[in-house]
Parts: sequence; C-alpha cells; structure tokens
Amino acid sequence: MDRHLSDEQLAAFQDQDLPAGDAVHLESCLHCAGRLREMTGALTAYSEYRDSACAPLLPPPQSWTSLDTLIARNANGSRPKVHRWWPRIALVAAACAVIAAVFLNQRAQRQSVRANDLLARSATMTVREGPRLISLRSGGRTLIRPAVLSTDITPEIDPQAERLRSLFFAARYSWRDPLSARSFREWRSGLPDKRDSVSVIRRQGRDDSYRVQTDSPAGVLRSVSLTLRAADLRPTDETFAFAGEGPLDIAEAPAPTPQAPQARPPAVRELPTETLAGPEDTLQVLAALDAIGADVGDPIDVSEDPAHRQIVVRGSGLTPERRKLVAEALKPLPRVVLEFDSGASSTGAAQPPPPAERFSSDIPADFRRQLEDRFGGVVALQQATDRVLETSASLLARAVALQTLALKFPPGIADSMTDRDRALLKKLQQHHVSELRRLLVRMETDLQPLLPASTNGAQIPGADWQSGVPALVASARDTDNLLNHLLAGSYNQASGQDMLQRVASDIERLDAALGAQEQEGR
Amino acid sequence: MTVRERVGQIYEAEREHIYAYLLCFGVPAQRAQELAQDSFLKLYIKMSKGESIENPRAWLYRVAHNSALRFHRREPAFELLDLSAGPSEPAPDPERALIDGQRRSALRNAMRDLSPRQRNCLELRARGLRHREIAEVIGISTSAASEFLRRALVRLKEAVNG
Repeated sequence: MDRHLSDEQLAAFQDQDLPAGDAVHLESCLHCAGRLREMTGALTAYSEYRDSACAPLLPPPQSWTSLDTLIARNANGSRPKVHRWWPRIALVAAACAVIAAVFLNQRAQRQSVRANDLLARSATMTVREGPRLISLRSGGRTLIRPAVLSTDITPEIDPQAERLRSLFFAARYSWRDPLSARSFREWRSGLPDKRDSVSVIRRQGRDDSYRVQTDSPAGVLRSVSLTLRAADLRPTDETFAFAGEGPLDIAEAPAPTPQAPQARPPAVRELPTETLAGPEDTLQVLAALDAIGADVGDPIDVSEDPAHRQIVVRGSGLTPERRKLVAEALKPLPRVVLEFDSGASSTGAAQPPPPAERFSSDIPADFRRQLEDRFGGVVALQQATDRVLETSASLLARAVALQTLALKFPPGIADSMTDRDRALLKKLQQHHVSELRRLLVRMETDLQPLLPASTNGAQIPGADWQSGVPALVASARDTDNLLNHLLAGSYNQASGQDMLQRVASDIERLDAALGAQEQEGR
Repeated sequence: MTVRERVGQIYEAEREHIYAYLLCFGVPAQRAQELAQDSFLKLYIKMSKGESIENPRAWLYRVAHNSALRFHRREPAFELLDLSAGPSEPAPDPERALIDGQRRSALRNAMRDLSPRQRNCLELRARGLRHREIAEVIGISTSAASEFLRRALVRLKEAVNG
C-alpha cells in the first residue's frame, strides 16, 4: 500500500479497527505516523487541560452510595429509586427510629425520609386550629376557599372552580381536601405506575421543608408536588400538573382577620394579587434577560415559587461573569430570587462559527460532487455547511425561547395583563420573530443552490401567536435534523436525493410557520 | 464472576466519569450524581435479567446522555466546563505543570470555537470511547461522529502547535 491513510483510517487504527494490511503502512510512513501523533497529541492536550482545571472543582457533592445499597434500595420499591440517595446513617435510622425520634433528629435524618414515610406521618398529624383557607392559583387567577369542604359533590358556583373540581374528580383526587397528605396518599396508591422523588428545601430565613413529588406517565393528573414543613410535616403548598392544562398551585392562605372571627369564609373569593408574584413579574424578568441575550441558549429557568411570593431564576453552569451580568440585569426587579448552581459548565456569549475545514463524511461520491457543483466547489460547500449548521442551531434555540414565552403566557394569561405588559410581551415575541426571520434569511441564502426559485409557503392561520409556536419549533427541529443529516451525515445516493428534495419543503414549512408568527405579532 | 461483582467493578471504575459527563450538560452536581448512580443500577438490572450488553461502558454513557436530555426536557447544549475558574496555584502534578497558562488559554479559545456537538464528541473520545461508540451514545452516524471529532481535533491541534 503506497497511498497515505485517510483521517477515517487513522481513527480506525486508534480504535484497533484498521485491517492489518493498512496498519503496516503506518510503520513505514513518517507522514501518516506524524498525523497520528498530532491527533493523539491534541486529544491528550485536551484531556490534560480538562483534568487539571476541572478535577479539583467538581467532586461529587456526597460520597458514592455502594452498589449493594443501590440494589437493596431498589429491591424495596417497585422501581429504581436511586434518584433519592440516602447516606448510610439514614438506613440505620429508618430501620430503628420511631416517629418521635425522627422528629427529634430531623436535621440529621432529613435526607433519609422517604416519600411513603413522610406522607404517612403527615397524614396522621392533627391540625389543632381553626378553619384554614387555601389559595388556588391557575391561569392567572387566584381563588380562595376553605381548606376542607363539607362535601365535594356540590358543583362550584365559580366556573373556574367548577372546572378544577371536574379535573380533580376525573383524576380521583380529593377536591374536598386537596392540600393534605392523606389525599395525596390516596391518589398515589391508586396509580399503576408512578415515580416518586423527595427533596429538601432550605431557604434562608424560612422554615425547612420537604417536597414530595409523584409523577404518573398516564392519566388525567400527571404530577403532584406537595411541600411539607419539616418542623411538623404540615402541608403548606402543592402543585398539580393535569394533562393538557397549565399548572395549578395550591397554598395556605392567610387566616381570616380577628376582627371578623364569626364571618364564615365564602366558598370562593378572589384574592388581591398585588402582594403576590404573578405573570407580569415573570415577564419583566424575561424582558431583562432578553436585553442581555440570556433568554436564548443560556441554561436559565424562570418560575414562580409555590407560594407565588417570588420569581425564582435558576441558572446552571454559568460563568462567574455571566452570573454577575444576570444578577445586575435583574437587580432592579422586585421579588426576584437568584439560584445559581455552582458545579457545572460555562456558557457565555454566542459561539462564533468554527472555521471552514475539509469536509469528509460518508456522502456518496456522486452525490457529493452534485452538492459541490451546486455550491461552486469543495471549499464553497465546506463553508456553506459550517454556516448552515450553525445558523440552524441558533434558529432552533431562538424558536425554543419563543416557545418558553408562549407556554408562560398563553392567551388566557396574556389577555388578563395590563396594556403595558401586553405591549412588552408583544415586543418580546416580535424580537424573537425578527431574529428568527434574520436567521432564516441567512440560512436560505446559504442554501440557495439547493432551493428552487421561490420558497414562499402559505401561511398557517392561527387564532393567536401562541398556538402557532409548537409548529414553528417542530419545523425548526425537523429542518435542523435534516440539514445535519444531509451535510454531515452518512447515507446512500437515494437517501441523499430524497433529502435534497425535502430541504425546500422543510424550509417552506418553517417559513410559513414564521410568517404566521409575523402576521399574528402585528 | 457474578453479575453483581462485574457491575460493581464497572461502578468503581466509571462512576466519576459518568458523573463528570453529566456535568458537561449543565446538570447540577447533586442531580448528576443521582443520575450517574441510576445508570449503574439500570445496568445491573438489565444484566441480572440475563440480557447481553456487549459494551457496558458505551451503554452507560448512552443512558447518561439520555438522562441529561430528559433532565432538560429539550435539546441541551453540550458545553465546556468552566475551565477559566481553575486553580490559581500551579498543580503539584508535574504533568499538569507542563500545561502553562498560554497553552491553556489557546486551548480554551479553541474549544470555545467548537460547536456543542464537536465538544460532545471530543469529551467522549477523551474518555476513551471509539468512534462507533460515540455515534451510538449521541445518536448519529459513525461517519458524522468521526467528522465532528476530526474537526475538533484539527482546531485543537492548531491551538497546541501555536
């Protein structure tokens, strides 16, 4: 063999997959041996660099649970429950402790308490006080009602409350006493398939709590998360996720004022929302993040706390500089709590596109020549490939950001906001849409050699811009997958031709979905 | 060797790697450790049922990869670990001492130029996975994985060579 090995063959040699005949070439060819050394050296440099910088920073937060313990724990439950790890002391404590001891030693044993135990203990607690009130927050409205109704078969007067009652009824969850461990247990015990998790919530200046969450893959009610105050296991708030519905949050409401002790709480009344965090606060946070470009691509999550007192902004793996920037941007906003995870990765400004390099995936030779002819040569194809794939990734990230906006502000919530907030929401939507259009134009320009003369697709009509976002995200994702496969994948001639024909239709579909957004945003 | 002993050996050898891999997806440290442990338990359950897993290591990475996807509930970007926040004092290890600040800076800049998928391939390669195993973990073709990796290595090679 006298010709040099390809990059693929060198990689196969490293993987010990290269035929012996080809491997012999390496023994006599200084050129190929040198390339191999360079590839190995680059990888070694990366490994050393990563290990030297990261290893001291990233120890696991806890000691590793032994495999035997993991297996034993799994054997005690119906499904793997390793998401809940417990230190060894917890197993000892759980085996021998009585309930009183558990309460006395809560701090030491906090992480050992399992969902079953917590719910069972909470259910046996007696509330020795007067009638409690609870608030139910859903779709931008907050309703107040007694924590426990005398019956749950009487239809509610308020339409929204009646709708919630029917959902609870369908899910076989107690509408009469929703904020209770007993009701949670009854619903949970009836699930054929479920997944539990328990976490400990510690916040400065507030009581420690447990959060017990059960997820169900099927049924009307997909998830319930109940927060129990650690001191007495009293349920304080709860979040329900019904299939196809927005979240419902239930929390203890302030007790009736002493001035009117005899006044019986009304069946349902509106809670003044001025004191609570609401969608308008979330909107302000998203707008502030948008202003610094942190709402696209950055691993930042924005949500209300269960009691709706604060907007919690969680960032994972941000660089110190990025954290500072986010903190500065959100500083002027009230009721915002920042929670940055310190143990992960970094993201910063948008990544610049990588430089053009020689292209060498497994595209059939004839088909590759066809692509090169259309783009105007090997180098032009390489450059277009790099640009298109980067643009497509950016476009998909932007579409996901728009989806976040649509999910947090469905028409029901948007309609209930002030004119000013609605205008801000519209501005954010239009910003995303204009950026999406800019990226799509750039992608169409780069893909021009593959597209017919006109790709103007029909616009998809929609009742509102939010309802069109899923189609837009799906189109962006499909297009991204297609382009990655076409330009950097492996396939045969027939598949290549098929994908080539689909490029235009996918771009048209994306264009139409974006056009609908532009239309609705006007 | 029993299944438990075999998985136990793999657990001891690989858990830190799986954990670090999850961190690269932006999974918080505690959750990453939980998911890593979960991956090994799944491996044990599968093998104890008599199912054959040809390459447990690659299988574990795939499970971890999918766990990271589910954690984010959308396509997460594989990012660099925060290398700029490394220890300020020179490490006592002579091998580490060889990596001076200038070289580290060049490498860091080069890696920031890589696409998330290139970084993902690079990280898996650095952890010893073969090309076809990387493709299996990420869910792309072997040739695509090779191409992503090749481009990443070319960039790093340029950075190393100055």
